[in-house]
Order: sequence, then C-alpha cells, then structure tokens
Amino acid sequence: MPSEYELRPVGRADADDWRAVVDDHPAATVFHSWAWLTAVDSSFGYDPAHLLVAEAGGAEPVAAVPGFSVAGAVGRTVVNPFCEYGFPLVAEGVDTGGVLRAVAADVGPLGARVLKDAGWTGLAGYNAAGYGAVRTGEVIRLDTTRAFEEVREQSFSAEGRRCLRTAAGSDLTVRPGSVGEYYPRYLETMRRLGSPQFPESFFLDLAAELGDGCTVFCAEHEGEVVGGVLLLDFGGVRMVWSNASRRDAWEHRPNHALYAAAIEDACQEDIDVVDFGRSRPGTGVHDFKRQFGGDPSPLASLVAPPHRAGRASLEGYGAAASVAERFSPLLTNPAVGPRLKRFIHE
Amino acid sequence: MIRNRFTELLLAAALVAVVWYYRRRERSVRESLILSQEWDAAATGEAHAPASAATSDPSTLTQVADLLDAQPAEIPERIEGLDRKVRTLTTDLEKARSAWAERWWSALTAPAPALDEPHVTVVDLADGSLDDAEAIAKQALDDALGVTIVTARGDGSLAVAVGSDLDGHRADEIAREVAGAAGGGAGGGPEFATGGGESDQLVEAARSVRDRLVNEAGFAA
Repeated sequence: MPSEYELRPVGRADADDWRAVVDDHPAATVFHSWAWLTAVDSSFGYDPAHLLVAEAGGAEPVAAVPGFSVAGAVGRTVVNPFCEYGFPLVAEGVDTGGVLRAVAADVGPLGARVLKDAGWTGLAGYNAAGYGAVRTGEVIRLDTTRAFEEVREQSFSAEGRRCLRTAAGSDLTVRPGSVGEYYPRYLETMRRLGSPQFPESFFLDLAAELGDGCTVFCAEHEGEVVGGVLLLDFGGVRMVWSNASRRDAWEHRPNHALYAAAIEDACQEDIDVVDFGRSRPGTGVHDFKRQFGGDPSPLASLVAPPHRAGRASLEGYGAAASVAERFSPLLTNPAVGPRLKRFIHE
Repeated sequence: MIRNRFTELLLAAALVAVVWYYRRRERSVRESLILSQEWDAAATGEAHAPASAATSDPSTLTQVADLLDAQPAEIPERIEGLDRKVRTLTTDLEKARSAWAERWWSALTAPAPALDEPHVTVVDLADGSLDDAEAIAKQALDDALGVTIVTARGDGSLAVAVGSDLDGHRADEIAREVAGAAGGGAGGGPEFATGGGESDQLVEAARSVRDRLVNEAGFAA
C-alpha cells in the first residue's frame, strides 16, 4: 500500500523549513532545534538523517523527525545521539501512525530507526506502525511557574533542603559561568567515571549555536570552581544536560546548590519546566534528582523494525561502565576520549 | 570419512547457531512489541507509569528519613533520641501530676488568704523551673492586694508579682531582696519581676521577706 506521506531528507540548506515546523511546536525540545542538530553535526560528523514529512502530493511539511545515521557492524542505524528526546514532531490533526509508518519504511534492508520518546509527550501509534520498544530510564520534570520559595518548600524533599542548608553554611557560592570554566570540572568527572568525554569544542559549539539558550552556573568554594552545570533552554523548558563537581568538595553539597540555582533562575525567568534529564531509577543519580521534586516520566527508545530493538539497548553501556574506571586514563585521554565518544551515542 | 564427519559437525553447529539466533530474535521482537503496545496504551489512555513508581518508589525507610529530616543511616540514632525524649517527658509528667495533687491538697487545707487586705504569699516549687514560677506569678497578678513570691528550686529561680492596688511596694525591689539574700540577683518592673539565687537558700530568703512585710508593713500572711 503506498504511503500517504512523503519523506524529504533535510540538508543544511533546509534550516528555515525545519525551524518553521519545530520552533512553534508545543512539544519541541532543544534536541529538535536546528541549533542542537548543527552542533552535533559539526562536532561528530555523523550523517544527518533528519526528515521532513509532507502529505503525498503536498508541499507543506506536517512533521519533522530528527536523527543521525551511524554505521554499525551490520547496517546503519538512525539515532538521536547524546539526548533524551528525538520523537517526531507532528502537526495537529495529522495521523501520527501514518507518519510513523512512513518513517519505519525508510530504514532499508539492514537498517533501523530509533526514536527517543517520553511518557509526557503522549505520542502514540508506534506499535501499529511496527515499532518495538526498549525502556531506557526516566526523566523528572519540575514545574517552575511558581515562586522559588514555593518550589523549595513544596517540592524539595527534607533531605534536599537539608543539603542546601549545608551548602549555604559552608560558604559555597553559585554564579553564572562559562564553558571554559565548566569544562575542567566536567573532564575531571569523566576521568573519575572512566567515561569518554565530549570534546570542549562541542560545548563551545552548543553555546555558540544556542546563544542565550545555553547557560552555565559554577559553584565556587574558597575561590575555586568546584562544580558546574550546563543548561539548555528551549521553548520554555530548561534541560539540565551536564553536571559535574569535584569529589573533594561534595561535603559542601555543590550539586544541590547548582540544581537549586538553576531552578531558582528558571522561576525568575520565562521557564515553565526544568527537566533533570535521563537517569535510571534505583541509581544514586536518580535518587539525587528526586530530592528536587517534579513529575517522573518514563523514557523509551522506539525501534523499527522491532527485531533490531537491541540496537537501542543501554545494557551494554551499563555493563561496560563497571570496568571502564580501570581504563580511565586511556578512555579519557584527550586524543582518545572524544573519538570514542563518537561511538557511544546513547 | 573424517572429512564427512567434520562437515556434519560444521552443519550441526551452524544449525544450532541459526536456531539460537532466531529464538533470540523472536524473544526480542515479542518483548519489544509488548513494550511498544503498552507504551501506546499508556499514551492514549491511562497515564504512563514511571518505572520508579514500580521499582524505586520511595521506600518506607526513605519516607521515615524524610519525616525525621535525616539521612537513612541516621535513623537509628534519631529514633533513640526520640525514645529518650519520650521517656523523659513521661517521667516529668508523672512528677508534675504528683506535685499538682500535693499542692491541690495543701491549698484545700490551708487557711484562706485575706483577699480584702494587703497580704503576702510564698509558693515553693520543689522541682519547678523559672517557666513554672513565671506562670504562677502572672496568674497572681489578678490578686490586687497581694504580694506573691514564687520560688522554683529546680533551677534556683524566682518570680514575684505585686497587685496593682499595693502602692509603695515594687516587684523588682522585693525580688532583689529575696535573690540578694540567696546569693543571686533579680530584675523586672513594679508589678512583675524574676530572679535567681542558690536553690537551697531561696525558700528561707522568701519566708524572711514575707515575715518582714508582715511585721513591718502590716501584711497578712
């Protein structure tokens, strides 16, 4: 049966068409933005495989689907690297199932398409369109359309408030910072975890592409930057995308202070939601994020065809993490880490 | 012969590998399709159930820690502290009940003070504290012609109340007189004052001041 939708590959010259669909879409995230896609493209050299979808015979795009094509052992996979969301943005009144079917049919004989979605989007029709799914974790999103004091008292846990008092009592200060100040703390954290790092040029590209939409806060103690957080703002939503701190400063609770500062700033600015990003329930990181309140929402990678769902599984990364710390000096070597990162597009 | 045997083994191994692959693939397809079906059902109907709700809902331990404003590891120490506090409060309550009964009986059997003329009363609280002494003295402010001296030997404190119709007598002066005799000091205003001194001398000092007021100022006791 011929598809009722036509797919149009998006090239670098199609930025305006892309923005026309994405920028006003109520569910669009920073990971759908042209700025994010451009930064990923220029830093990692993946093959862009973004699609604009139009009704058959029509010219006006009715959906946008971001993705980059990466080579695997057998065939290529179109994925959304380094982010939480890559679901299709479909215009109101358009048949989502039809769009998903058209996208699924475009993967080729050995290929696969992975779409990252979250429970909060309410997007449906994957199963009927031939997608399987893999659960990848959970996000927590906090409503910041309230005064910060109200958020702190009503949403933060007692433990979270206690840690903030500790931070306040230990002369820890948080101030706006720059990528240049944040990157050394990020690099230290990656070395501690044995996880290949992003090149600094990627952070700089993001800052350049997003402009005011990329914010850095730094935590200082006794004149030294002991931690930082990198935030990406888009469409009234703030993503806490990267966070790092020195282990020897943890007693001063820099991460609590940084999250609170990001939330307080969001309450004062035109930000409706702070999204704490993906984490796995039951882990320390997830428990940390829960201290700030908010609504949890499940994350999944929807995969077509379903027998290639394993390509979206994060189990392998989890298993590798347990031994990666031993090889940290190699994995995070400036000449090796950024190159390896290209292959870890979780 | 050997060659044929080897070929058979190779084919058998290949067959096992193919069966294993297709079984694994079938399981993967089934699981992922079930999940995507659940995903769609949740998106169109009931709300998505976050994994944390099922697998890491805040445990009872975490909820208790939140209530106590503590880390889970600190819970035993906090509970021990709370238990100590409850035991102390229970003991205090028993003592207070016993003291209340004793004083109620004493008041019942004591001669009534002459409320229509200047009079002086000494109240001694053997285990009392300044809070107790202040509470009684404030109550005694309603007694317009009375001087009330309350001693609390629990912490060596005292409180004095002087009725509003008693000209020429000040609470702070009387409190200083009692406290001075007990090796301490006092302060306050004309109607209400507090102070402190040696616990074992306070009652004697208060009674001495009472006797002076009776003998020199014509107060009834």
